[in-house]
Amino acid sequence: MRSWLKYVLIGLGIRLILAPFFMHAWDIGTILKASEQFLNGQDVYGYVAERTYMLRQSTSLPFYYYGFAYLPQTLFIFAPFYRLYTLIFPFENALDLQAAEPVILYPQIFVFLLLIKMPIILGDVAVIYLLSKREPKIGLFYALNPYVLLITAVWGHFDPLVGLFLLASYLCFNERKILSGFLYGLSLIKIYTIVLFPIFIARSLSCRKDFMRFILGLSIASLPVIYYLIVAPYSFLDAMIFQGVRPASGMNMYYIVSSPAPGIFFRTAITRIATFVFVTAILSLTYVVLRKRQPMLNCLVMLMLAFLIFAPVTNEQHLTALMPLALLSQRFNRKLCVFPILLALAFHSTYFYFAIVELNNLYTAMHGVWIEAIGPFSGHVRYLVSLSFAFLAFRNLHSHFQPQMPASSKRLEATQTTPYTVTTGSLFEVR
Amino acid sequence: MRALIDVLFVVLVVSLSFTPLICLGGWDGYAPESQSNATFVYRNETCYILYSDETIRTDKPHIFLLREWPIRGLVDLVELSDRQSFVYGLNLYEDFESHGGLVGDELIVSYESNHGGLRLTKSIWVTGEGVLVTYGSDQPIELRVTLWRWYFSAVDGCDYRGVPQPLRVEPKDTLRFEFEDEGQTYRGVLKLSNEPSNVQVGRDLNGINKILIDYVGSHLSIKITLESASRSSFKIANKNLLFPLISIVFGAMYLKVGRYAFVVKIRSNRTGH
Repeated sequence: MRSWLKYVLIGLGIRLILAPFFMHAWDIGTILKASEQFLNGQDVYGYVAERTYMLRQSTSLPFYYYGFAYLPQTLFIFAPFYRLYTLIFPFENALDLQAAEPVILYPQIFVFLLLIKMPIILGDVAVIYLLSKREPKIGLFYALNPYVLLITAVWGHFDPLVGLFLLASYLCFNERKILSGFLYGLSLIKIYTIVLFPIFIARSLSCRKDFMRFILGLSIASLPVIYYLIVAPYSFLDAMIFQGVRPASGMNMYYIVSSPAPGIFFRTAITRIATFVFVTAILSLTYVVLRKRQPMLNCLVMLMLAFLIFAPVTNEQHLTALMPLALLSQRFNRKLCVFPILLALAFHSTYFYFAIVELNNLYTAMHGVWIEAIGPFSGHVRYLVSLSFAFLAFRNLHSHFQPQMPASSKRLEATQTTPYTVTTGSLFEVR
Repeated sequence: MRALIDVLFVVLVVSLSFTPLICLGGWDGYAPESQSNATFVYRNETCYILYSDETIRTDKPHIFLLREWPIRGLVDLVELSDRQSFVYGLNLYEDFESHGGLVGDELIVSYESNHGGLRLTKSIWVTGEGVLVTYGSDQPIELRVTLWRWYFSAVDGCDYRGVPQPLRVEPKDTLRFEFEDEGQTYRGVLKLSNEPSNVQVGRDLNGINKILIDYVGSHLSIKITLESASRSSFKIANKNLLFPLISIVFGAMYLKVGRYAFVVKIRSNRTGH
């Protein structure tokens, strides 16, 4: 059996086994709710805006409701699988995953979880294929990586899909500008990939035709956005603004602000500083990498690393969007994957909702013992892990500037800058 | 250039780590991800108030003292629990719908009973002298307010040890209480706007844990102030200092490592295709 096929099957098998039993309850619940509303013809963004309004009315504080705040392309990816679920379970298919204490006693939840995670799992399979075709070891690493498995099969976040779209966009950038633009447009389902926009544009500008093709592809992928901008501009823009102004949190050095003084006004003030630092860092880095004519792969990896280090909100799952591209780059420090796992296991018991009650209870008890053990210093432990990630990622960002490379790597770099072509027979075949 | 960028990064990280030491005054708030309820927080140089905290899981103003440097930390002062407060025997937590919101410098909570048109408001306002909690209604009501603490060492100068139940306190508009925390004795005062109809204390085996105030009328305010604190011990208890400490150690390690040429493990890929 060919090695890529073996790795694809291994990766697929593990993901299919894990997927039905776990979830990140809030985020899967968000996708469920949005898919349901979308299929019923309701305004997904209007619902989020309404909940935000109610929350603000009742508290007089500038909160945002943490609902569906992604580009509408996401709905086209997940809604068909939700529809399939409702076809299998036409009656009593309601699931309340966002309840304060969700009780996982729905018999149909296993099928639901498997189906709703299917696009992400298929995305992972495509990544394993693309990586294995270029370097079998990388493909195997991605297939078996516990961090990727946690995000894809356990939590069910769709950041790995973003990783696939970025990888595919990069691979066909030289030869198929329209397709590359289209795939980059799809990667914007998580808006943070906007940090790569100047790189794609700058690299397309050498030829006017190429630039127009890239923009055409991007525009085609953005048609749902244009639709929502016409039919529900205010609620849609509200949801997008939320992503830009949400208070600093997550797996970064700003986490500290939400630890001892968690108020929204305080966090908003710190978020403004964080946003300024983030924008400055991204603009400066973009300028430097373009000026130094860094290889495109390096540029993309470095900017995504800068996003992970400096963005006000960087959650555990965001690194998966970088992983496929970063693994192609020989300079990626794979130890970075350890920190999100540590944070997820140590501090997110509420997000580990097992569809097996006994397992859920056991985990909750173990987590309780752990929190009891670290007591009032849990914030410090978390800060320690977040800071380790920030410093290691910063060091890794530096390493992409290093000029010296062994001969074998130079050869590969040359291979990477050589266009990967798309043949009609098989997608992304390497010539 | 590279060394300068490293230093700037370390300076940024270390600067941010001092943010927990910044004391911003006034009301603030946060909401859990489920957004089912909001928590209001008040902070100034001397006190810290939590209302409807997810960790407390009930509506109450829970008032803490904020000890200053070198004794920094939260000292539990008193909490006014809705679970133990009643209007005509109806529990404020169970039998009323409530909504809290900030109006200027005040947190105002509006209550409406589930069984009728009974309405009242509770406002929490911090003055220079202490915390003022006011109950107001458009009609006279029978109100019972309970103040909790584990434990008061004395109320009105008496620890009520061996006193037969019910433990009555002479109703008057000023009540004094004492408590101990980590070797210090604190003395507080409850100043009521009107004389209550009845005051009792409750105790368990360990000591006095509640003060119950009964009042009939349409307006009652309770000013909670700290009279004095006798300092019997000193210690540095600001664990927030650990954040800058961690960042400085990490930053120093990072810069130290950076002085030597670190080895980047370049993974040479074998292309067999």
